[in-house]
Amino acid sequence: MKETLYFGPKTLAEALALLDKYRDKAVIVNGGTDIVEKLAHRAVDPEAIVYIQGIPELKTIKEEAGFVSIGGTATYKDVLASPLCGKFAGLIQSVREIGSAPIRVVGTPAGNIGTAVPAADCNVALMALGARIVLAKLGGERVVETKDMFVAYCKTQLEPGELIKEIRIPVTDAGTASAFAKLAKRKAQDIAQVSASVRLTAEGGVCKDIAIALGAVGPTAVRVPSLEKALVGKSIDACLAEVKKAVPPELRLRNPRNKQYKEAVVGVLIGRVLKAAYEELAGGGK
Amino acid sequence: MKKGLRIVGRSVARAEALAKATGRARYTSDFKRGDMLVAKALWAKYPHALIKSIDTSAAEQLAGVAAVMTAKDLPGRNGYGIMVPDKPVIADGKTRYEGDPVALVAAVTEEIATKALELIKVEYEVLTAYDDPREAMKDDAVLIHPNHPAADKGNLLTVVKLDRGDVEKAFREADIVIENYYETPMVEHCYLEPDICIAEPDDLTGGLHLICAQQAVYATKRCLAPVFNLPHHKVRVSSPIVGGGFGGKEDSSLDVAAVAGVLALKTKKTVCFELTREEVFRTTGKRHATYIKHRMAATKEGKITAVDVETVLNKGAYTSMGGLREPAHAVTMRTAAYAAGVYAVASAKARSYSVFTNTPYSCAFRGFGVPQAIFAVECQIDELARRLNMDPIELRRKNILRDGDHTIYGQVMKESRGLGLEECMDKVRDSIGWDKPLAQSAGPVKRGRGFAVFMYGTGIPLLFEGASCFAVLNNDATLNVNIASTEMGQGVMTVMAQMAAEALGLNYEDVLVSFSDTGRAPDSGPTVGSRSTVMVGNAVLDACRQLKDRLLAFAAKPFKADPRDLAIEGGKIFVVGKPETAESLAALIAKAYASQVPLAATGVWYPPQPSFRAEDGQGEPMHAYAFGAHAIEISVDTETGVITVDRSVFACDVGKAINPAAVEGQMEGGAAQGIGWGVMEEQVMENGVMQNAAFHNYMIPTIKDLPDLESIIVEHPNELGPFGSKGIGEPPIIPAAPAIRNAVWDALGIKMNAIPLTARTVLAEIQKNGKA
Ligand SMILES: Cc1cc2nc3c(=O)[nH]c(=O)nc-3n(C[C@H](O)[C@H](O)[C@H](O)COP(=O)(O)OP(=O)(O)OC[C@H]3O[C@@H](n4cnc5c(N)ncnc54)[C@H](O)[C@@H]3O)c2cc1C
Repeated sequence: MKETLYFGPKTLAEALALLDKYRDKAVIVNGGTDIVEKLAHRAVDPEAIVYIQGIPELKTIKEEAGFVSIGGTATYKDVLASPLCGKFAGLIQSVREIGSAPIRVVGTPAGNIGTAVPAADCNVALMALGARIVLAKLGGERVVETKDMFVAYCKTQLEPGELIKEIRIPVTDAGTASAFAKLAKRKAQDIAQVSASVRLTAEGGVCKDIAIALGAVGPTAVRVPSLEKALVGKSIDACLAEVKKAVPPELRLRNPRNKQYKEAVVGVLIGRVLKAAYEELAGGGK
Repeated sequence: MKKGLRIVGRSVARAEALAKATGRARYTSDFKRGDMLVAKALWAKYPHALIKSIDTSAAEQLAGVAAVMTAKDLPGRNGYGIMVPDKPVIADGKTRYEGDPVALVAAVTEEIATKALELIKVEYEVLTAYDDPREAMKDDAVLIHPNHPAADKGNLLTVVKLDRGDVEKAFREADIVIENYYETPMVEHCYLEPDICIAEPDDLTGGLHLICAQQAVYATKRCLAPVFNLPHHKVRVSSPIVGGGFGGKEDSSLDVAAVAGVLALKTKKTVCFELTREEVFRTTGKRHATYIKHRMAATKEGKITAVDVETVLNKGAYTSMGGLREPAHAVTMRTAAYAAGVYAVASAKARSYSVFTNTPYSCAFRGFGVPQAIFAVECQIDELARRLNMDPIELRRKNILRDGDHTIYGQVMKESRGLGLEECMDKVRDSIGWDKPLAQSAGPVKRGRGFAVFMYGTGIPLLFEGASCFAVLNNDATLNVNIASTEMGQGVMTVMAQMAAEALGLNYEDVLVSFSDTGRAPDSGPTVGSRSTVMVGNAVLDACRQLKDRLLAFAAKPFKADPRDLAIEGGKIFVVGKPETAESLAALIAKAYASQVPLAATGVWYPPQPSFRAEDGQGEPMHAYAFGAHAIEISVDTETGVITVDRSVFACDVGKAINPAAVEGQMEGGAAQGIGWGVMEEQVMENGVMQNAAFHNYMIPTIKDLPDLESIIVEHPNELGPFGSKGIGEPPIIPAAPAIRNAVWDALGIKMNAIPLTARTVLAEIQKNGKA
């Protein structure tokens, strides 16, 4: 049986050099809550494991140039403890829903993106918040919008040699708020049946700008431009009435066992996050 | 003068708690050694198929493989089972579910064993696989067991019949008839510890030692000795502490022990066979899914006059906990016997059909079919209350079995055995504030409250009843009690030590209970059926009484007193009322040994001989019952269908709580498991293949899905139970599901008769009824 090589780089440069050397024969392990199970069952069988949790420079959460940026190895626990992240109610609500306390101690937003399951909670919130993902490789970086990151079921734009260096969330002013909600089969430690997140900008009870993202309604998390377009310029009450029974065309549900239920609740969930975001705005706009 | 109890009735710390809490307690897998072979099974690729050919040659040649076995290589009978030996160790010519092994491998590492499985080539001819007993019962269904003794009935294994009174007349004269169809799902036990057996050939005796997590060491020995072609006395079975069983490890332990055992005999090496969680889901026994047509007749005053009940049970692929003689079907029999629940009903007809399918075999699971039967009855009576516009608790009060009443199977209820149901009902009613209406909010969330009750006979009459133990007094006035029962978290070590210490006048710490080893203890019976505290407890008391009698008789001379005036307490012996006479018990024991007084004893106890006639299901199968009442408050989100259980108030009559904390543990665990059964658990099968064989898609409740579980202990003593006790291990699972269903009706005005009440099914009903 062949041996798997293990590396624990201490700097980003070291990590990128390793990823460049092993390319698609390398697997990044971050918190490991998704990938270790696959490695253990040899569903993934790499030549090299690159464990990145030992890279301090990727752990930081900071604000600069209009963005809050979450480092590629920051954990959910780090996010919950960060006052900078606390500005994004949708993000915090999604992170609180992930797994259980032990999972949140080690799991990371970057890993949520890397796994790219359609039900990933943090991804849906990030998508609504318009987050940008910074991908680094030896000798270069590129920035990808979250909404463009997921190309197919469990598949991202990430290329061999690349690493998620940070996640940048645009900072918004007092007229904008966000929210996230998830419907699951039980109240903890469960994958979403449907999840929804919004970022809402409103003024005088009217929707000025809105981003809606949905999880677990197709092969990837999706934005819902059809609804977003329809809602801008309308009163919040009109928006709430409109979304409640909505079954947006962005849904791509195949399994007949799930389809009916998901279609029945997706509008309800959008309505709830919309209402929650609006209540946050109305509740003092702090 | 009769003194109060010193140790019984106290929540003394559990004997094994410290070792468990510090992670030092050793479970079976902690006994693995580096030099053992690792076993793996090649499971049936198709749940129902003929095996056309098997080629193991490539696997045999793989370096590191010690043995590859197919059905032709077995040392003894290729069949075992608790009641009927119809489950093959290795499938011979045919597969009946996806948990049938087609070939076995033992290798030096797990990797090599897995690799070897991939090298085995099997050709199948696929047959129709049945998930639903109602399909498998049809005349044109493919026979799952063509050579079974029951094959003349098609896939129907058995029918249990119960007849009492004139049912037709009662229905003709009824003011009101409630008729419904109920469905309860197949579920997995979900014990924490996956099944495992380490089998060691014993070179001294030529026998075999099976170290195997399980609930019934003697049953394992009896069932598997013919498989190994060994006499019973050379098969030693022991079980370290067990990480949960819930009835499952009465059967699944046979599966792993048979495999490890035959490979150990073949290789003459120690072999370990441990299931993965996925294998536990796909291959081990389950709760019987049931389909129940229930008719209930009543007067307009609310007196139930008759029930007519037809139950179809999914037996799965093998007989397991069922027999060929009709009454011996523990689960099937109970679905008929409990068809009228806790109520005194004069006329009854019940038919319970147990039908083979291609799902995992259905076996014992906390409650032996009573939860299924009571689910239907407790839904029925709730509907009767609605139809009569009566309070559901008061309607129940009118109908419950009281002293001198007969059950529908003819058992006479006796106050002397403890009938505490009404007290349970009243305590729950007061505690939950039944008469105060629930606060409702304006939003989409609707709240509701539901109630359900149960009774549950202690023990497993008709299968094996009675218990034995050994007890030995040591020179330092400590006591060893050896029982064959299993310690699986329920606290058998603790309560046996409490009872023995109480009986002999010893300190609790001075009693050590050894458990589940056929090499150390006589048969205490299986650790199932909520039987151990009563049956084994009585056997322990019997042994202690003998030891005490002998000691006191011996002490009479030196103390110059009548033995009846002597007492033992806290390691001292003295004349009652004369503390100055106290002498060390240890000194007396030393003298007794020197004087040829035997201070080892075998304790035995049998309950009254049970009966249950095959022709009409009449008899006296039980000797005592535990009772309980459960009220549950829920919220339903009418836009998503999500149910939240907000409050659970539960009272059980346990006769006597030997250890109240342990009783509360059983009540809370049962309530949690019952809530899971009611709202989320379900083994989803498609053509014999499980669709959710992992904990991420097979849901069980987490702590966040449960409210604070309130428990109230009620004690109506059982004259035949040690210190008045009755069995409380299983029954707390029973009433939660019907209470939730009744609460959903209360909240929504919608009747739902199939559990689990998942968000999906609830929302679909809300939409169908236009109540969104
Ligand atoms: C019990 C349990 C419960 C869970 N509950 C939830 C839940 O409720 N909601 C939910 O969304 N998820 C849940 N998860 C899934 C998982 O915890 C999350 O997806 C988590 O975000 C993964 O992060 P990680 O750091 O552990 O990722 P890892 O397992 O380390 O990695 C996941 C993938 O991302 C890649 N990757 C990780 N970091 C980077 C990086 N910096 N650059 C490039 N690629 C990278 C890895 O190569 C791998 O392919 C649960 C998991 C478990 C075990």
